[in-house]
Amino acid sequence: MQSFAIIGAGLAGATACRSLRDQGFEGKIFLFGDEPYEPYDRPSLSKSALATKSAPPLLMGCNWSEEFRVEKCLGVRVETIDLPSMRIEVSSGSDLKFDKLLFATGSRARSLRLDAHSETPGLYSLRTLDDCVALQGAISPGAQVIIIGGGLIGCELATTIQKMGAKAIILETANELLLRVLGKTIGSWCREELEAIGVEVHTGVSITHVDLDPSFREVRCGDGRRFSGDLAIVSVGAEPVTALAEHAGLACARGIIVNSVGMASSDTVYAAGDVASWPLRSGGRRSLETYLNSQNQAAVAAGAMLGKGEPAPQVPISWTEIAGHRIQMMGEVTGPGDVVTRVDPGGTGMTVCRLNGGELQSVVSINQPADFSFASKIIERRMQVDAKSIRDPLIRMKDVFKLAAKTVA
Amino acid sequence: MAFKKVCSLDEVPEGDALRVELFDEPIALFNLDGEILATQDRCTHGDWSLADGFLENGVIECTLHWGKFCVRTGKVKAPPACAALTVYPVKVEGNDVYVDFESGKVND
Repeated sequence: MQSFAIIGAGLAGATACRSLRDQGFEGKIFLFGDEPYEPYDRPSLSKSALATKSAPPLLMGCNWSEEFRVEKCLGVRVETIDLPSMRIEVSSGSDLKFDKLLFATGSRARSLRLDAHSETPGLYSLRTLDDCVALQGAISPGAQVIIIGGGLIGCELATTIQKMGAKAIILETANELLLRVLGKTIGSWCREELEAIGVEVHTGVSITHVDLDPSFREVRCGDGRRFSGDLAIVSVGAEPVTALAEHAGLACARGIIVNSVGMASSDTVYAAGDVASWPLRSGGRRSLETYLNSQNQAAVAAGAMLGKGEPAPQVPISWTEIAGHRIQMMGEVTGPGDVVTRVDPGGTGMTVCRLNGGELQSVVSINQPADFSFASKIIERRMQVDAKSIRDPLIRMKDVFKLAAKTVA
Repeated sequence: MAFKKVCSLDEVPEGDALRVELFDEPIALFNLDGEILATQDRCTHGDWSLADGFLENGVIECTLHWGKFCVRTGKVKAPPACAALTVYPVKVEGNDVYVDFESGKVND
């Protein structure tokens, strides 16, 4: 009987278990997770779980490991992987021989790299359930919370912190929030919305020093500005967890290099989720750090492990909740072509698209899930659309899609 | 058994959906190649209207978190949704669409 080992019990690992069984795998599945918890919903950590000081939802039903016949090894760290002999050695001292291996080790929060403070204690970050529990305990009403980094996690945290009755202060190096993921238009819009709920936002800040007296936290900046608060959270991005893979001799460059079915250097080793540097449909490759892409990659890689993976170059797709607004995005926000903005006449949101050569390249929707739903299908199917109908909010995106579908047919 | 008129047929074009608020719970009507089907409108996962969703091959995809349901049986087709939708009997007479709300049921 074949044994498949999956390292990492987050969304990608759990999805792969389900997918292997759905696709008829009858062998053994071993799932290793270094966190001692059942697979849980990570996006909730910066939102509802933190705000309500509760546990995040679980990803699987209560008897899922029996149902899917998965040997769960939670709270167990994989120490080494020997690819030639196809063996895994774990922290408990035991080892396992595998036939195929899936890396689903995810990513970790990047730490703030200041000269003397490469591993500054007392700085919080948010990636795991333990991180979330620590923040739940540290943030009380009235607290001043400094957030270092104004990307998605930073902005979600600021939203939640205000909701908890505390005060969020965002310090961002770039000249606008969310530049990398959402572009300038939406970034500026989000900054105004965050400010409207009481968040203090400082952009163009270069941090030179973090002072962490137990009772007082001060962040010093290159231009002499100083910010103080009760605690500071670092949210300056994530890094794929590739140490094990590198030790095993796999090619890594900000993620394990895989092909478009998730296969690494040989047909025994695969990767999915944040740890995988997966090919993109628009060219190039990277770790996507999104829920939906992780889920998709895990299903594709599971198929590939069974010898039936359909190539799935990825289009990034994700969502966020900032200052009470639901933002959904798909595709590469920056690139050639024209930016077309569709403003909801009801005043509750907008959709910003990038069009190039009649093809929709990206869509970002604020509070317009119906627009987003159909625009994302237009991108997925590479349909031809015109800027005029995209811009006109009186033409439903549903009808833009239907017309484009007819044109294709 | 009490069928009640909810809309006219031309309010639900083929491949489209309509939200109707005439009962204790909003319902969604779907037109699958001329056949009208009715389910609860509220997604069982995220409290969101399904009538705005993406309908294809008899499956509705919620626009909030991309959960999917079969509109004929109400069964879940994709997570994060995990509970089935209530489905309601429908009859069409001429241009009138009727739904029997009391006879709604959840298929296991």
